[in-house]
Amino acid sequence: MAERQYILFTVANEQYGVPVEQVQSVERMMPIAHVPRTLPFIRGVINLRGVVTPVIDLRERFGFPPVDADANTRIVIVQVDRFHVGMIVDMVDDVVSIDEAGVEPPPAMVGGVQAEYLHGVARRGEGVLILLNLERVLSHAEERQLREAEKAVRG
Amino acid sequence: MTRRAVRRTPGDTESDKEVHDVENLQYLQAFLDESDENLQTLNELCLRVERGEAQDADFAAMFRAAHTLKGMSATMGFQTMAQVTHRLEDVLGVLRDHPGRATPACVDVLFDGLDVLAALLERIRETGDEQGVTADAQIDGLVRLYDTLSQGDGRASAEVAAGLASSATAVRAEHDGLPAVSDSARAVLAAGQASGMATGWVVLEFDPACVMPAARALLAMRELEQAGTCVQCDPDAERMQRGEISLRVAFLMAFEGDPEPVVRGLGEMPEIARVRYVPWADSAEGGSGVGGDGETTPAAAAGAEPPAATGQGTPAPGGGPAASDGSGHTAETAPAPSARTASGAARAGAARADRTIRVPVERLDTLMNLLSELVIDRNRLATLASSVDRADLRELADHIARVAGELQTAVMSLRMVPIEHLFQRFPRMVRDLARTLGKAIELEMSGLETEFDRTIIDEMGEVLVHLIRNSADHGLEAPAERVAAGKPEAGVIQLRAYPSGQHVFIEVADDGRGIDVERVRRRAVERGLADPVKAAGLSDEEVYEFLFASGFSTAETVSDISGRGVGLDAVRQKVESLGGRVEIESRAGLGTTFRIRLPLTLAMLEALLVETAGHVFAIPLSAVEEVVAATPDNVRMVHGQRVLDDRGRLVPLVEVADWLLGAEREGRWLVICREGARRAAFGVERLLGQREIVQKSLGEYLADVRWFAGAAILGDGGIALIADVHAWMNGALRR
Repeated sequence: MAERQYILFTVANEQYGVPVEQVQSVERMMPIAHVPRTLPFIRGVINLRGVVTPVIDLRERFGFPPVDADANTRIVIVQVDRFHVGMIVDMVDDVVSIDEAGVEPPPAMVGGVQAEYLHGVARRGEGVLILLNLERVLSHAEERQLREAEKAVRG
Repeated sequence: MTRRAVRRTPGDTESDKEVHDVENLQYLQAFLDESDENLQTLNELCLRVERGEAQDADFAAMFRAAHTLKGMSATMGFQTMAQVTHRLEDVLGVLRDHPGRATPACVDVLFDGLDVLAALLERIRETGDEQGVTADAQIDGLVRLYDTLSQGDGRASAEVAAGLASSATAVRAEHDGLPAVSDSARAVLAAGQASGMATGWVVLEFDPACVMPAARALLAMRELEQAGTCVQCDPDAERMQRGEISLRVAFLMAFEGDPEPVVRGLGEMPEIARVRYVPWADSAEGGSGVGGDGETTPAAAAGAEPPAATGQGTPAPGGGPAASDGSGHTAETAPAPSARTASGAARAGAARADRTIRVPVERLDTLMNLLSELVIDRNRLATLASSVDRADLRELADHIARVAGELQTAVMSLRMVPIEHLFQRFPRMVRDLARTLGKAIELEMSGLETEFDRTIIDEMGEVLVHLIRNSADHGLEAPAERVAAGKPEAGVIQLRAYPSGQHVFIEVADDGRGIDVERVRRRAVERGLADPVKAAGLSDEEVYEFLFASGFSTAETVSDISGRGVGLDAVRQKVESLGGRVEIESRAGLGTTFRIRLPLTLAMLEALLVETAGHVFAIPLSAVEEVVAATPDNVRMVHGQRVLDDRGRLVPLVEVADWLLGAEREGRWLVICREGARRAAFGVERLLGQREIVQKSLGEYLADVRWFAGAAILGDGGIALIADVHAWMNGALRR
């Protein structure tokens, strides 16, 4: 059976996975330059070894309350389609192999995250692992939303 | 070597399609670039012919350009283009020999041909093929022109004779001997035969109209090599490579299987008139008389060719091309046409001798990016060196800074291209515009040597086309109107380029009627862009701004020239996306000037770093007029708004912290920015100084962010957002 490797991380006490191919690196928290007048979950940009990289907060992206960064906080740098983006997560846990056959379609809502952002769920031990669909999480819908928000700000 | 040249030629069979698609891609860009240049040359020279200024050397240059175009398009497998250029070359050949025969009518036909070539190139650039562009009319036109030009002329009959002779050559080939088989080839063939391979000559005769026989031959050879081993060929591979080839080539093959399908396949290739297959057997006479000497003449070798009928068990190709072989023509030799083809092809294939290298812009970009890193590190090093008090470190940092600076200049200069590359296409365009509009227009160009960043040149083409069309169509009056106004009948459009400080300017100026400010004002009110009272109070410069509004047009009738829908808004957007600005200057009855201001280079800029509410922003110095300290004397409240009283002139004042960040701060420093006639002051808490920064994109994810043109990485590794001053001004002045 086709197995795929996933990087597991925690956001607001839920475990999520993204395919390792999409992950470029995992960084410790670093200074973020805030970009004014963008959506709240867009935290700003970081200097990732000379490349200006946008960073989003996954907690806020999924509608969870923000928390202060601590020693476990990580920025997972992903490259999805044209987007090169860092995602702030509470902690990065592990890399696991998951059998694609064992991935079930997502229910409408998992742990507060809408199904459209999910690739599926996989059982793992006693828990459930939520596999993210990053294309959607970072999709164009975002840009539209961003523009609308801009309009709202400008009145 | 052979492989490479072979792959440059297109495959005509399905099985080869993919291979050649991929391989051709590498050549496609070079082909397009070179074709553009040649087309440009032809256009310029045609204009010169039209003006009656052409020298004999110009006709020769035109012929060469057409010839090169023909060769390249045929090699790339673009048949329509090859046909057009072939006919073009015919015509130019006559003109080269008889420059006196050039007439205005003939220039029109040439231009038609050049236009369809441009359309074909455009199509190829976009889709990779020529489909959908037909050139039959232009080809006909060129053929007719050729007939007319060469009528009653010794040359014409010579051409006809040459044509006859070349078919005679083809006929002769059948009866002519095949080349001698060398000893080594003989050994290979014998071994092949022993293991049951079919061996024999495959003789190709090209259509006399075949544009690039050498390319065809190499292609055929590749086909054959799929089916077996080519043991020998005539002309030999090296000569074939150099394009020294007549209308007939022969390959001595050892086939892995049945030769028949391969031979039939070759017969179906375009431009191949006939294919013969002559089985080879090591006959007794070959062994004794000829075999010992690889240098035997073709005539002698004829004896080595066994009659096709003997066959020796090798399957003779059934039906097909070989069946037509048999009638007994006699023919004289006529080397002339083949020799001409050969030298032509060789010239097309010859490497350019000038000492320049064509480098893809992407590679320069890579170099630029690496350099950006270096510049950042240089700045960091300078910061470090000044914090650690060590003379040697400072000295080293200084040296690195100097070298990096020189390196930067050197790399930048690689990207700079004279604007001539862009301007040179406009004389032709203006000529066509003048005809279409029924106006007399003179185009004056200056500053052709002004250098621009390559990216800017690429991007500005569309903008200038639009502005020039706009000037020709709306700016310049009709001839009668001009005469009535006491102006010369011919309108003048000036295209100027010049550098100034950190910027380069391009101006499109006409001596036409000027902008009717009142009409623009009316239109703006009609379109709801301004209320009548406000509109009445606007200055001329402010009224011109409306011209840049989306879809704004004052033209009473929509003409084909300035297009519909695409307006000056597109021009402004494009220019601004490059970090530039467009300004308009106009005087009623005297004309209008569009002035485009562009940064000298794209990536590096001098900026003023400011800080407010914990955010660091970089304001491009080009937009900064001056910085003043805020005092109770110069900051006043007017209608509940804070304004800067700059020596009596009121300037809108925007507190950056408040406006962008929603933070209550009152900045000590006021940065006065200017754009055209507009000014605004931005309040910030601290000035961090002036730096040379490298502009970096915020990334695709933040591509829609409005207020910033990008970000810069500072010496301490921090990030400063680069203010989009134009957006800031708009944001500030709207309040």
